[in-house]
Amino acid sequence: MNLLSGLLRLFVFPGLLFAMPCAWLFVWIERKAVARMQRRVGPPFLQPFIDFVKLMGKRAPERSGSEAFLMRLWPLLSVASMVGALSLLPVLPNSGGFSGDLVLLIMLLELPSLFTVVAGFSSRSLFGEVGSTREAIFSIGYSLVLLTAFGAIAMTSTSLRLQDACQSGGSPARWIALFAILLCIPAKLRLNPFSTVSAEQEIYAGPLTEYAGPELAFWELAHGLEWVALTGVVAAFVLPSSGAILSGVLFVVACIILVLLLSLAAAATARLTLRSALRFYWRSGFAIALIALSVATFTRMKP
Amino acid sequence: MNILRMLLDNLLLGPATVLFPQYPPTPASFRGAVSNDAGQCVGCGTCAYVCTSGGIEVRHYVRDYEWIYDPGKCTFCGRCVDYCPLHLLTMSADRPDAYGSSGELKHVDRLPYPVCAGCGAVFEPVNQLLLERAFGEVSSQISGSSRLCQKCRSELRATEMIAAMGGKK
Repeated sequence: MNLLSGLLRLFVFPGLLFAMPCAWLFVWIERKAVARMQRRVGPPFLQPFIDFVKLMGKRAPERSGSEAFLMRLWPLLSVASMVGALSLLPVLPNSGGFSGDLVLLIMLLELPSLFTVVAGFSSRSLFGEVGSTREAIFSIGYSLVLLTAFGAIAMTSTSLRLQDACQSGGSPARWIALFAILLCIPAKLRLNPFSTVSAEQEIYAGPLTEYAGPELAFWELAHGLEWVALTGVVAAFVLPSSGAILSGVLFVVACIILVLLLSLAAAATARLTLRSALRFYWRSGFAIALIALSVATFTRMKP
Repeated sequence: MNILRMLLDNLLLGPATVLFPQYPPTPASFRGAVSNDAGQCVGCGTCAYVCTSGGIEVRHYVRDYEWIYDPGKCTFCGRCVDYCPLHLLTMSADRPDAYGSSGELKHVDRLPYPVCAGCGAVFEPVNQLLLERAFGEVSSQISGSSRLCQKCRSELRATEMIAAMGGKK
């Protein structure tokens, strides 16, 4: 990957320029789908974009000292890490990549969760601190499953390079691992039944309670990009390799199907308590990921 | 899996909510704004007395009285409708209009007191419904004296009684 292609991937496709409209589209689809399943009208098509522009135009509350700096820093870092994760996705065939980019992708996907935790504590809000604590506990819950599932995928392709992992063909272990990753996505996106972190009836906006104006706009953008990155990871592993344009179209279609599936799960379930959610991830989720890893190991050991 | 069936039904049925200022249809038993049959109202004030939210007011003046209803204060409990002795109050089956400032939807009926056919003074109204409730069948004598003020009615009764006893009319 040379500098130019790297920059193009970071800022054009599948990076910022492509991912931003996709993020607003996915957020709108999720909100609209859930609304329709609850017999509500739902937001108009441009609502996520309008929200972003509106928040960008508002004045952030004046703060002083390190608090002011940190509260501006975390949302920007979240957006940056998500753009980085998106640029690594092997959407197009022969998109290059480098050995070990799977590890970097996992790290970049985990960073917004970490930034959310510190963001809540930086805001010094009681609700923010409770939300951050919940986020931290949650991330311990699903990260174990996520890492084991990614480990199983790496094992099936015998490579830590994303391009190889995506093109290694469909084995049972890979499908089981993808299912385990899919189980973790609602928790990462704070969707029902794993929406305890931002349980608005209890703790308002959780870690983001004190954020307003452009800071909140960037948080919302990071959240939208998280939608694209997480559904994109699964889509990239699921899709067969095809021509450049077709790959891009199929990628978006697969992501939209995943968004609709996640919306269905969110509309069909109620919020679980922290304890129940952790039990789910450490028992059911981890068991599924472990099965994937075991199957991948045995398949690899076979002569 | 009942929830999935329910969600599918919801998808097929379409939104139950509509965009403002449209409203979804109301059921037949919906309790909307109160309206008064002003032509029959006698201004007894029972509706204002039982109104818990102060949405109905009856103000008496020298020659007329006002029946004032503010849907902005009304809780649509229906007590006024239940307690109106003449059953003149009804509640609309439609939603009251949206309003932007206090008292915007206030409705005022200014009703004149009837004038006595005998002396021309004003007196508190008596209507046909009230007479029927009080006397059952309303004779022409009762109906005629209902157009008189209390003083003229007393004088008429006294004259009739004296005449019946054989005195001077």
